[in-house]
Amino acid sequence: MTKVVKTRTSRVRQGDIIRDVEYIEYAVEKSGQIEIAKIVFPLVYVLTQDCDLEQDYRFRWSQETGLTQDKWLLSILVAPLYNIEHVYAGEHLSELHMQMEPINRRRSPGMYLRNNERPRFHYLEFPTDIPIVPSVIDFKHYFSVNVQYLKQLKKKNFVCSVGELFRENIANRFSGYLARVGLPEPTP
Amino acid sequence: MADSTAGFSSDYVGENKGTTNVNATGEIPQVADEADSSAMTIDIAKYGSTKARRVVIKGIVAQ
Repeated sequence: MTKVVKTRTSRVRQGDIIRDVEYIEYAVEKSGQIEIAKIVFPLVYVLTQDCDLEQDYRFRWSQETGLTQDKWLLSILVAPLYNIEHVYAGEHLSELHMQMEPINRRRSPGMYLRNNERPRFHYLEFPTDIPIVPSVIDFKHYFSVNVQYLKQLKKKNFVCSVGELFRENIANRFSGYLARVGLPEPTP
Repeated sequence: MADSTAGFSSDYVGENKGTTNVNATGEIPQVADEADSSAMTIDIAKYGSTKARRVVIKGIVAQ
């Protein structure tokens, strides 16, 4: 069971879980017509380090403006949370016409997933008073969102924040996933 | 080349399923359009949340 904090703070924090976050896929303008495509993720988890978020907030929003904007972030790194039931079926991105690899929940692949032994995913179960079903963070699908957009969205779409130690565990696993080295297959 | 920072026109009607158009006041509607309705058929009690969905917005750049 994941320890969570239900109190909403005005600044975005590492470990925050926020509902209905939009990712801009593209915005093109041609011959006077503009087309913008976005993906709306039901739940995302904030990955950016909390010290960076704290400094961004302090220097961007407080009176402590300073002489430069050196501590401002350009974006905040997040990763989607997917419903574990959808992930087992490989259909969590079916609305985007993407078929994912099914994972057999009753055999080893499902057990490895729930034990956080698959580097790509982080499995989370929430207390009963948190309205989130068991879910996984998919580290491969990380993306960035605008700082001011996420701060504004958090006001009404904040769900909870993953508690300390648990969020450090997630950060540790995410950094390990990003730092992995893919070695070439040995030639026969 | 048109100014891409200009506002939207409200007279463009998207043809593709899943598009969302700006409304008469030039604002982008926040309510999901009909293409999103399939996501709402998911059993919320069982699954707890809907799936990620794509929304496409089309408009005309004001000249």
